[in-house]
Amino acid sequence: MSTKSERRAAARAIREQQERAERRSAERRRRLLQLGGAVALAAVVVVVAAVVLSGGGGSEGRASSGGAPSAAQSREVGALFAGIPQRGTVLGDPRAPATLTEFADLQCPFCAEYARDVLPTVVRDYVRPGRLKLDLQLMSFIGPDSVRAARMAAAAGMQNRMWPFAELFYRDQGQENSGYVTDGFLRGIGSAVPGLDVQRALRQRSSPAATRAVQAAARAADHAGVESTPTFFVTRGGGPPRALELQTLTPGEFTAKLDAALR
Amino acid sequence: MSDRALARAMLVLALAGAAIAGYLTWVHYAGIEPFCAGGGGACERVQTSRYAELGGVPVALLGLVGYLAIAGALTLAPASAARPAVAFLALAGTGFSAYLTYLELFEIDAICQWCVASAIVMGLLAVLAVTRLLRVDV
Repeated sequence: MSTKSERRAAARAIREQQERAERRSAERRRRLLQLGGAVALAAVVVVVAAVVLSGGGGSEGRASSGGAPSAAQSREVGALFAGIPQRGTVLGDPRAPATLTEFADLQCPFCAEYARDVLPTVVRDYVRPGRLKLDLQLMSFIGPDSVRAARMAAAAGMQNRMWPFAELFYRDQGQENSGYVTDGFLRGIGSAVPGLDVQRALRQRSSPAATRAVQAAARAADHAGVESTPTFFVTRGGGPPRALELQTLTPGEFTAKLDAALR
Repeated sequence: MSDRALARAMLVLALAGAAIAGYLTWVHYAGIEPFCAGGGGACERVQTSRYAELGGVPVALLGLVGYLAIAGALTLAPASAARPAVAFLALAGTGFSAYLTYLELFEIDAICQWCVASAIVMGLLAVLAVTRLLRVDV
């Protein structure tokens, strides 16, 4: 027989146990809600970041900074070409046994895609070891902004700085033919090119030499039958140019086709 | 594993992640080639790709901020606030790391060992953070 006080104690113990179970249950619900909130918020953050990243990296609809490349971009481009000889339109050792000629338009988004995704690999694996030199022939078929861009690039080429100029231009492309290639825009891009005398380049872009360079690129494109950009040709020694037929602009496919052309 | 041991393990992981992200941030701003075991330059290709910056901010720097925020929450905030905050940060970091790994595999065609290491650290952090959040010691 239990006493009255023992029965009360037993009842209290049961009540406390129930209260503990209820507290645990309530806490578990609260934690699950917190986890749900964390998952939902994290998903939103990831989706927004992915959209910004893919939009920022995409070839269309990107926001140009208005010709003000970041210091990091300038350093990256400087590092990409550091120590490689540049002369006019040509990047690489002049004695390299083969030449990769690229016909491009600075407004062309696919040319920018190639420059960002493939060119670093080509420079590292082919140009730096002296296997290949690159020749950049800038056309201006997209419109007036292309003409202004090509003239400034030609002037940068007169200071042997065409390649970093083009690379930085691609990273800051604006809406095609929106009139974004202003003097201010070109000055901004030029200022980010290490070693370029921007004022001299701005003066020389309308010089007869710059005009000849732009016209020569257009003639070379006509002669080669170029219909779109970017178009690539590989020339070995004194042999005829061989076109690279590309389906996609990825380092893997490009180097495979390049290797085949160099064999 | 006790709540305290879980928090300690997460702090170690967060500091390891911060070291990786800190190294990649330094490489980014110094404009130098990251050390890549086995060579090949895959890390450099990833680091100089168009996906290396988010809105002009290096992705590596965002990772560094994320890891330091996790370490800060673990050491400075009360456990009741740190648990959901760390879970959110680690889950967001893991999701973003997964997206970056997808980009490496299918867009950039190069795998950066440092990024993979960071993704693994962030994934482990997410597992521990969720485990800690769901443990109820009442």
